[in-house]
Parts: sequence; C-alpha cells; structure tokens
Amino acid sequence: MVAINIDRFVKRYGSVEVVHDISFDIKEGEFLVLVGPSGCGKSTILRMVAGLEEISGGELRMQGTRVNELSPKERQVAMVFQDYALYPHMSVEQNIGFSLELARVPRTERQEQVKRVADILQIGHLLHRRPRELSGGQRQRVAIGRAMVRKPHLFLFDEPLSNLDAKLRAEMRGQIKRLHQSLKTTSMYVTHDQLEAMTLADRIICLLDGHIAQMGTPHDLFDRPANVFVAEFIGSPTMNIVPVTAGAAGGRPVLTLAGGGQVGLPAGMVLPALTNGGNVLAGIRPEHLSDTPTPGTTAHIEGVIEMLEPLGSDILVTMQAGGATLTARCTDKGQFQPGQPLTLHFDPARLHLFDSKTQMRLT
Amino acid sequence: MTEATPIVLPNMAARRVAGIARAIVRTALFALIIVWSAFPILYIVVSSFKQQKEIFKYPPDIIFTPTFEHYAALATKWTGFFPTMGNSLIVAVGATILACVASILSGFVYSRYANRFLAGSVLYLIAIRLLPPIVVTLPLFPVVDALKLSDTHLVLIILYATFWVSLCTMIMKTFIDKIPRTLDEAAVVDGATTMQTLVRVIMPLALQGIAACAIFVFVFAWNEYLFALIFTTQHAKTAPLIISEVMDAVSGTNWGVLFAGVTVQLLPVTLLVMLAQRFLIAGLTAGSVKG
Repeated sequence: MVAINIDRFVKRYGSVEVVHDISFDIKEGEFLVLVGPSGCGKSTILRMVAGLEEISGGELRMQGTRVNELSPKERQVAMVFQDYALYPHMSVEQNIGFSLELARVPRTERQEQVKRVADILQIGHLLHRRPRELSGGQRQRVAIGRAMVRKPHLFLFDEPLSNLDAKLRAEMRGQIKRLHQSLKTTSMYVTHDQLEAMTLADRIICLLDGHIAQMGTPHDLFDRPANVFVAEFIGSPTMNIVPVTAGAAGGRPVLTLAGGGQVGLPAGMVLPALTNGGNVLAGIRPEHLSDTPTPGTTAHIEGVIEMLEPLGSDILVTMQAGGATLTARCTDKGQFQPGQPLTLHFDPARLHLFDSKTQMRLT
Repeated sequence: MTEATPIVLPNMAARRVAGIARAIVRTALFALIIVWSAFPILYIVVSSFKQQKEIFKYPPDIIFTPTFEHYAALATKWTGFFPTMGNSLIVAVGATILACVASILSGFVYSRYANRFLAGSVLYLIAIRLLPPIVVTLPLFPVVDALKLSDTHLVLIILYATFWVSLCTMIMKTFIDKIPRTLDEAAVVDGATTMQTLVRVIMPLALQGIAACAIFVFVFAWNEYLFALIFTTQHAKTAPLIISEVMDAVSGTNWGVLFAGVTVQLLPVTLLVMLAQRFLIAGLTAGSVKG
C-alpha cells in the first residue's frame, strides 16, 4: 500500500529552481533514503514533505489525500533534525512530552507515554536531565524519542547522524534500523553518507542537482548504477572509472586505455552497441579487482603500484596502468611494494560500461 | 628541507618587570575610573547624613555623627515625595512591561521573517531613536490633550515605552537571532502555533535579552524628567519632579533634603542594576560576537 505520493515536486526560491519535477512513492512501512551530495535538494524535499517548506509545484498526497496546505502537525509527521533541535531549557522528559503537552494530553497519560518511549530508547534514567548534560548519542536518542512519542504516520530524518563520531554513528545506525524493524513506521531519511543509505534503506533515491539520478534497492544502485554519478557516489572506495576505446583484436573484444595499454576480454563477451567511435567509460569496483586469479576472473590488467593504503586486514592498492589510475582492495599479506609491477584480475561480468557523452549506463 | 629558525630565549626578568609595570598602570587606571564615577554618588549619599552646615564645610569631615533629620524633613515638609515615588513605580513598571512585550513581539518578527517592508521599517525604527526627545514632546502636547491623557500614568507609560521600543526591538532581535531556527521548526512539527513557539521556546531562551531591555526601560522611566514635567501636573507626578522642586524652593535650596531625596530615588535603581548587571552587560554587548 502506498503511504506517500510525491507527485511532480518543484521547489523555487525566487527565480531559482532547486528541485525539478520529482515524483516518487513511499510504501507503507518502507524505509526510503534520499542520498546525494550537498546542494542536491534532498533536505529541501524532506522539508517540503514535513511542511516546513512551501511546495512551489506538484502535489503531496498522504494515504491518497492532498496535504500541501496542511501544517506539519496536521500531516502527522515527526522529524529528527540534524542538530537534534532539543529545547535547551526543558528536561528530557519535557522535550519528549512537549508535543503531547501541546495536544493537551493529561499529565499522567503523558508521563506514561514518555516513559514507554524512554524505555525503548534506554534513556529512562536521563529523564530529568537537560540536553546540555547529555552526550551526543543520548541527545540523538532524545530527538528520536520526541519523534516517536507522537506515533506519527511518517518519520522524517534529516541527516540525524552527521554530528556524531564514527563509532557512535555506527551504533545509532543500528539502533535506528532495529527501531524501524520493530515499529515499521514509514520513514524518509536524508543523508549524504552512502554507507548510511546502503545499510538502512529498503529503497534509495540518489539525487543530483535537484533531479533523481537513480531510484532502486541498495543492490540495484551498487550492482547496476544507472550512470557515472551513481557509480562513483555509491560504494567506498569509489568505483574506478576509466576512459577506454572498445574494439576487437584477434576475434576478442578489447578495451584500449588512453595510454595505449589494453585489457583483453574473454572471447564471446558481447559489448553493448557502441557510438562515439567506441569511446566509452569503463567502471570496476576496487573490491572486484584482485591480485590473484580465481575461476571467474578471466580478464586482467597490468600496471605498476603507485601507492598503498593499509586498512588493517585489507589494503587499497593504487596502480598506474596504461595512463589510467586504478584502485584495488586486496587482502594484505605484506606482498605489495610501491614501484612493483602488478597484474589485477577481474570478472568481466563485473565491468560497467557508460556512454562517454551522456554518462549513462550502456548495458 | 629548509633549516628551521632556531628558538631564541627572551630575557625573562625583563619580561616579568614589564608585566608588573603593566599591572600597576592598569590598576591605577581602573582606580581613577572608579573614583571618577563613584565620587558624585558617594558625595550625595554621605552628605544626606550630614548636618546642613557640615555639607559644604572645607576641608570636609571624613568622620561625623550621622543624622536622619533630612530624611525626616523630606517625609514631613515635602509630603508629595513618597506618594510620587509610588507614581514613579507604577509608570516605570508599566512602561517596562509594555516596552518588553512590544519588543519581544517585534524582535521575533525581525529575527524570523524578512521582506522589503521589514527591512525599510528597521531604518525608520533607528531613525526615530536618533531624534532628540524635545522635538517630539511639543507636537505631542495637543495630541495628549485631545486624548484626555494629560496628567495620567498611562501617558508616561506609553511615551517611555515608545521611546525604548526601537532599541529594545534591536536587542531582542539580536538575542533571538542566536536561537537556532531549527528549534522553531521542531516546535512547529511538535504542533506549536507561532505564539506557542514564541512563548514556550523562544522567550525562555531569550530571557537575558528580556531582562536587559527591562532594566534599560525601568531605569530610564524611573529617572525621566522632561516628559514627566510637561505631561503631568498633579495626579501622575513622578519623584524626579519633587526633587527639582526641592532644588528650586522659594526659601532657597535645602541641600540636605535634596541629597536625601536623591539618595532615596537612587536606591531602587542602584539595587536593580547591581542585581542584574550580568544581564545588562549581555544586553550591551549583544551581537558583538557571532554565537
């Protein structure tokens, strides 16, 4: 069942249009993540849904009803803000219970509901503290509690973890995921962190300059990026994208790098219909390049190691190969040295080809 | 690699002497400023407890037997003084409340909304504040008369509040600017109306600014002379007018009574300022550092 329809959303500030004709649906209970670089319009869309920004064009429907003109309260949405936006002069209990107080919920009932939420979030012992007496993670939990207590139709999260350190971020990410699994409230989550998007989302919308670059499950975006932007944005370290000329030599398809180096592909592999004289962008993820051949890795590329970035068990190996720079994620056994020649093997099925002009996926 | 510049140790003894010299100069300057500002007040307060003939004695007596005769005279011969202090209190409290309410509302609007009209009206607000009070006083006279507001507490309350609303609006705007807008948004999402957001979220966080405004208006209204002289005659007369009457008495100025009156008049505002100087300083420096 569709909970939210976003139909041809447009946002203008004066004569400047920042969100261009965007449409998508959110299903009941779905966790949808809007991801993209800063300035792509993701927070603006979230704020339009929340009712904090006027909708310049298009329609927002909740359970089939147009709600463009309704206040956030009437839309029954709750929001978790990037800077938590806790009321500094109120205790945790008052912060969480503020919306209930405004709705004139009797005191005892209010206290019960606040306690229920605080227990779920394990902040029951902090109810009498002020926000300044809390750690970042505790503040974030209070902010989530404040949203939860209202039992909203839709949870909105505006980069809620970006002010936390890496460890706490991972912890809170897990907590948000667990909460969603138990509450099953429809959620819309904005982040610039692709890892957050990948780990939390049922579905991701990747935005660029106020347009949808791709919409799909995390697997869709990772395995079949629709364009070079999504290919580079999703996944860490970022996908290697190299300009090549596709052709054939000796009955086998061959990719020729700018510096003259060649990548032989297995005979029988069919390249997509090519334009631009075969000039394409070839992409391969660092984790799909390996220094040792395995049964599937029937293609390879040769070069010289330029730089090493140890990550612990793994190591990022940057290699110069025929005018292209490639990064591979390999298992670190101390076998690499800068300046050393290296052959990287890969499964040609893992290769992504993009049109060099439109930057769109070719297969 | 270029060679780093070697560290040269300074003459620590010379540095210490210079530090002590700076401290002495600084302390002397502070002492001078304190004497300069406190001397007139101290002179008035001390003189109010001296016999009439001792007040202008030269050299003055540092040790003397204090007398309360001037205070007794103030209460018995200038019977208007203490009731007019009541008027002063009504007017000062009224003007403070009115100016604060208006400034909180307008400061909130100037902080949270922006359009051409508001931008223009800020200039107007500041320009009005630059006019000398006497310029507006005389044209106001027929207006006040027509509204039958002459010699009422209300006219002074309105005038004093009006006089301060512009500056207090700017103080409130500066304080409210420092409160993150996401708090307003969080309140709206929580279901608060604009007024609830202002009263429940913004005002408690702008309390320092409100206190600063309240002190400015109260002190001004308590001490004001010109408007009170022109617009009141009997019923709403304030204490500074009686003090001036003591000074201009036909029988000659009774300095002891005058100083006693000034001391009594000074007491409440001095106490108020001392208790709330933390807020005053916050109000004076509002906006000087980006929060």
